[in-house]
Amino acid sequence: MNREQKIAWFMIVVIATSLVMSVVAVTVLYFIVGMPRDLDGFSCLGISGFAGFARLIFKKEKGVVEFDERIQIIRARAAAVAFSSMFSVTIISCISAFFIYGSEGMIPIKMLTIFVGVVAITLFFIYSLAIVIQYGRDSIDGGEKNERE
Amino acid sequence: MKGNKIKNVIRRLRFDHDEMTQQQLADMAGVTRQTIIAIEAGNYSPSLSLAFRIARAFGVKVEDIFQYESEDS
Repeated sequence: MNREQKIAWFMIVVIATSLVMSVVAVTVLYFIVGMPRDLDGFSCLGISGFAGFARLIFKKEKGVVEFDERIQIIRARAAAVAFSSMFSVTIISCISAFFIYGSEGMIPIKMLTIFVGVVAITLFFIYSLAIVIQYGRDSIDGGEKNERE
Repeated sequence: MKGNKIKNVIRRLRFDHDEMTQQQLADMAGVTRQTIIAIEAGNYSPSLSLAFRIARAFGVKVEDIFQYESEDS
């Protein structure tokens, strides 16, 4: 597993953890304080911010080639998929807000933060997922056992 | 439009060169080992520049390593 994969996996794990914790927190709060205060549970999405430390945790190794033309292509494809997904989520968020609060309504800051957070999380989650999937396809043919075949 | 594929004999050439490892070839070509794995398996077609670097690592011509195979033919 190279640095790119490690970073992608780290991001997936951190973001997935924050999503699961948010859903659990919202569910628990729903039974304790009810709606709409249960939405405070989405503050657990803040945990996903730790994903930003990935490149600091997995540092570059000296003398090791970690970037080449294929990684460039993988990154480009992942970015394209991630931006498409982010665009879809952005539009869905805008339409949802329109239907929930109406054309003349006002969005609570809490909801605005959740919308923006979900859009940002979608971008990084899909990007990381696309990288892991693209590497996964090739690793079927190339494990350590192929080293001297 | 029918598909086509670029075949290669990198694996055989590695054997012929004192069982050169994928890592050694990757270091000589300036790419990651995973890229060599993907090329050998036919999952990735290298750029012209990389194809020349691989050929140079083996001391042969590019066309001695890579063959273009079309399903039309």
